[in-house]
Amino acid sequence: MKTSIEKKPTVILVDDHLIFRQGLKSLINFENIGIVVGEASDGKEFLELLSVSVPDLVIMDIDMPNMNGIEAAQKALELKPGIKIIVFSMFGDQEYFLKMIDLGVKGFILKSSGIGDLEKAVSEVMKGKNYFSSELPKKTINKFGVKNSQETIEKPKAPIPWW
Amino acid sequence: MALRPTEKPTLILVDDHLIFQQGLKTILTYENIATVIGEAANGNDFIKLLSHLKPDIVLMDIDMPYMNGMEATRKALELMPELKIIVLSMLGDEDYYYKMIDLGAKGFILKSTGIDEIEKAIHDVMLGESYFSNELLRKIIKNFSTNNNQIHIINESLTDRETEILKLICHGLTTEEMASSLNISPKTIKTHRANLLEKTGCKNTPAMIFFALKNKIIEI
Repeated sequence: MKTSIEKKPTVILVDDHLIFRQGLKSLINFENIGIVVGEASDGKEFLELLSVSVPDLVIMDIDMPNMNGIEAAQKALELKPGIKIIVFSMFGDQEYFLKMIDLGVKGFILKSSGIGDLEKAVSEVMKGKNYFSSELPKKTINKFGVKNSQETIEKPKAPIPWW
Repeated sequence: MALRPTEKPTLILVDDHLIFQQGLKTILTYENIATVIGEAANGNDFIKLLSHLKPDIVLMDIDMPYMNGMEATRKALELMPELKIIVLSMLGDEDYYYKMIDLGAKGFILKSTGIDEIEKAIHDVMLGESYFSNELLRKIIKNFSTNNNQIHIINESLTDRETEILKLICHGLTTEEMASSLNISPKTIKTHRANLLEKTGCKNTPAMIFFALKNKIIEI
């Protein structure tokens, strides 16, 4: 199933639903996508983990108690600016997308999409690219594209749409 | 790990988050807990599956598009009254608990708990019991104590023994624990429990706990 990544990335999973984490961990191991080296049930636990070891990749929920995914992403990126974060989100979370993109999150996947999507996301993000679920609304995808062009192309005269 | 029935139960997963479904299926299969024979992303799809699948167990989410878990539970139990439905819910779904219990769901687990609890729930439900996570019951009781001030008339027909057992049920004792505590057989406890359900008109344990609270058989 895996062809593009030679070495499996180390992953920290951050989600308040233990059963979701356990399932995802099984899938990630089973499908040979990565090696889960840590788990946290909220943003605070995640930041504690991060102070001990930095994984190749973080897969994180948004809505969590104590410290949510947005604050956790912001703090994690302050502490470790290069850290690669993929956010798992639900349909109602769209309002957070732009905020997360601004913070420097590398990927977005909807929980309604499957492991194939996550696998692609991991592969792309590990190559240094961004990734977002194709199911995300066009508007969000467009803005995501714009943000990328601004980052990679020096001072474009106008934002370059992805199409 | 809980003891399992000799044959693995067949199961349908109903959840709109595909990645959650896939993860749960992997674990259920890998841990040899159940055979997943069907998956549905909402209540509509699930009801369609029931036309040709007869699962032992259904693991059901509440908040789903098109047809939510409550409507799906109601319809499914009309079609197959014996179907064992275990609800997997998120914190914040508290408002639905009583409704789902009333509809006849056999179990209720929070997604914040792990596979061990799901395994235990499947095990208990397959034995004909119900399973409601302790964390959940605490929340129900907490909500109940703050929201409910209705007074109901006590059912006089409960025997002393039944009242005693109802109190123990409310304290979270298992059938085996009650049997050893009262020095009677688990089978007798089960008979009392069945009589209690019958007399109180309750469908399951949490409903009986509500009954006990309403009738001041137990205090919080």
